[in-house]
Amino acid sequence: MAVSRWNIFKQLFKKDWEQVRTETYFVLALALTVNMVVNILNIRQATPLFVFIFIAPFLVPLYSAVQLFRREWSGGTIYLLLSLPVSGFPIFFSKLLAVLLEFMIQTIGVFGLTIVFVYLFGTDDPRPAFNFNFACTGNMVHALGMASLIMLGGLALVTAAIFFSQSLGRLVPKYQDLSAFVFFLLSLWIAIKVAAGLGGAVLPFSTAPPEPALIWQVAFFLLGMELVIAGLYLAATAYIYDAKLEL
Amino acid sequence: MIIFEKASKSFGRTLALNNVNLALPEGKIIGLFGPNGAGKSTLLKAAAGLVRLNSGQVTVDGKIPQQRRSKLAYLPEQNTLPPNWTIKRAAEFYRAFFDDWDNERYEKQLEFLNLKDGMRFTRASRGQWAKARLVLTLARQARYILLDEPFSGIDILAREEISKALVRDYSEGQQTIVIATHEIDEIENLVEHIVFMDNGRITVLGDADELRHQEGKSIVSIMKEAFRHGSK
Repeated sequence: MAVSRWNIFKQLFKKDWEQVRTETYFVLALALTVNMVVNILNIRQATPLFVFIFIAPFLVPLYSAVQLFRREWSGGTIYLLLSLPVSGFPIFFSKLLAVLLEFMIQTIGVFGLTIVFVYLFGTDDPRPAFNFNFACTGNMVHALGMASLIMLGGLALVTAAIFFSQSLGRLVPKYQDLSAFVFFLLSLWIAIKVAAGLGGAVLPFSTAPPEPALIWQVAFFLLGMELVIAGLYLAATAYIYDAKLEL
Repeated sequence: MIIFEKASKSFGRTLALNNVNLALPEGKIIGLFGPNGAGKSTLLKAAAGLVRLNSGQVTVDGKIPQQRRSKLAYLPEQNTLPPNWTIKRAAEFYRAFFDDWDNERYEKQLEFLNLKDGMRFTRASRGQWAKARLVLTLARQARYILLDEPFSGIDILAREEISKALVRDYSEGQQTIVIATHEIDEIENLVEHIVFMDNGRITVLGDADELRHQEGKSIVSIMKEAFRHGSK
């Protein structure tokens, strides 16, 4: 069979997805269990449980991102990756996509399951709880869409920063995990400084209270910055992989 | 051809390769021998582009190894495949990356080594795992096959099977197989060319038959002697 870029990427993604799907199923199973227990046993004070399962889709993908990189070394699969005739960018891009897909499935699953259970078992009309607006636009679909994209972009940035800092950590002969953690904090700090600095220079923050148009500008700017910085960190990670990493 | 020119590599204070000059002859089965810690694995990793030299260079057909990965099949000593994979899943993965993958050869080697492609690595014995990894490496018609300690931790029956599998589909003159091992007697009869390493240096180098004829001894005896001289 002829080698194609699509098939190569498909195999890389499949391998990474196989690694993170256990965590995805775990979070979905947890959400199902909590919803069933709370609604069937009619537990009144269930807020802490729901906070826990609502936070999980945001935290578990970050844990998966860390583990995706670490497992390559601990399991020896880094030998497999480094002997493939493929550069670092598709390798890390497939990992990033696997983490983003995990986040999307978990978020939709957890919130979807909760909404279904509220409709099935709830005694009050639950619709007002979900009827929120985004600033002054009044368009919930647009607002929800933009909020989801910003969250997805934020996760992409943090995940790329995790890969970047872990790759840098591998270049340090001792205390690799500690070094990676310090590099991670530094890379987030740089991302925030760059975004805040550029935002202050580019966006017209003079109007108070903010106009709806400005809120959308800020949202687009934020999303754009998240994607650009995530792309830069991913490219830097691929460079380290191609030119510096060794076994 | 794989050529090392003044290649040196150290890990901390340990000098794994010490100014190595070596040209591995093409189209032959080469035995890379030496005691533990001699630098055999580092030499193979350098040829596969997995370590970066401190000085000197290594080239594969005139280019750095990272640019020749499609021509190299490297089998490291440790397990490199996700444990939850089956042999079939691993084959599907390899097939996507290498256009020299030969499905017929893969199936024949599986049958020869009595392996089922649905076998999951988590359920495989150490010997089965080693044989499966060898099948996946040899299923490619790669120009250069680099095997690092393929007999490590394997029982004697499985060793014999692996030795036979090595030569079974070997395309003489077209493929170069480098086998790094400290267990010389396992492959003494297979190898056509010998490289002996000690303390990061090449101490013995030459055609296996010529060496046997010149010294009037088996390769094992020559290597033992070279090791004793090197240790002094």
